[in-house]
Amino acid sequence: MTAGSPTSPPPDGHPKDHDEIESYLAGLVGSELAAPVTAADPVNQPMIRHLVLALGDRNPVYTDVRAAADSVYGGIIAPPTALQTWTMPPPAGPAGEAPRTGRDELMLVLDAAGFTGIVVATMEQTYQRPLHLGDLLTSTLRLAAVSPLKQTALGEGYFLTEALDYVDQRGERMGEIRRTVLKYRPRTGARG
Amino acid sequence: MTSYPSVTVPVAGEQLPELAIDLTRTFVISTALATRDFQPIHHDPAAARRDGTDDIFLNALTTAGLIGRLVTDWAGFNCRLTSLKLKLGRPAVAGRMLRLTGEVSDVASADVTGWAVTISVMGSTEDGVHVTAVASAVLPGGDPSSAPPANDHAGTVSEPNAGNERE
Repeated sequence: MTAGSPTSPPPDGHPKDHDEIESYLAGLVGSELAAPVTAADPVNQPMIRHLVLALGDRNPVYTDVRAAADSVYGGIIAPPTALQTWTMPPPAGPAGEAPRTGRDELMLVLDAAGFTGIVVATMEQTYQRPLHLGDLLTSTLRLAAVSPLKQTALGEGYFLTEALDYVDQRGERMGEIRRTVLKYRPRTGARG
Repeated sequence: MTSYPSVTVPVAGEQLPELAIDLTRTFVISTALATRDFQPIHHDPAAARRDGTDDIFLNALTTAGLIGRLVTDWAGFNCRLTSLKLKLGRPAVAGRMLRLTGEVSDVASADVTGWAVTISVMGSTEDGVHVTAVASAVLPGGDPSSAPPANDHAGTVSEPNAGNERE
């Protein structure tokens, strides 16, 4: 599958039964689920301030120019755990809109088969260096692994392991995320 | 700015101060949007109920962000997080109280740049365990004469307690 240009079945031909879905998923393992995404904006103070206010994080290296200059970082940095934030996709378009990426299409296929729920099961973030103001991130997304159908407390579903890799404007590695999401069929009466 | 806490010498077995978060819908929604996670399950209660939870719940990037806060609230602003591994359990649903605790599980031998510290984290709500995590960080320490250049992007650390005096 080519990055950003899904070649899987059109909406009317979505795989529905168990064997079709498993073979569809198996065909995607190892492929890029989206073209590389470059952040719309470089790492910047307004987005950092918005984030740390929401989180209640008063670490001065995120917002206090003097304190940050005197720190080991030599200047303002973004919270490292926000590595993914800079290239997150925009809100979903109207219902029925064509999928924008291979990942959108993968989610659409599983939604159509009844696996509408999604939760993150595990996430491993590794940071090569801090994010400074002005850094412009580009991320790539690959489907690394898919589980067989599993029974879980939330309902039956598939665990999808995604590999996200981040580089800056010079191509220098900034960090990576390995994330496993459960895409599940909600159990009637399930509670969170 | 009020003083920001710090430690000088991390010790295995040390407990981090608990971080308790009242999971109001305002908190869940504002953090989801600030991390740019627009999935309806984090802001639309009806969408969350359709997928089997009682109400909207924290997105994973917010759980990660709170663990980052837990670590630096204890270690101070010269602490550099190098990795974070999360295993998520029960969703952290609006209306609950999330309590994050941490313990220093390992301190690697100091070199000139500081201590490599491993911190085990657990977060629970009234519904049970929301997250277990392992955070790796470098804390200031070692030889204070080896100050890094002012704009050190490699993030090496020295100057123990450099962040302590700031008000």
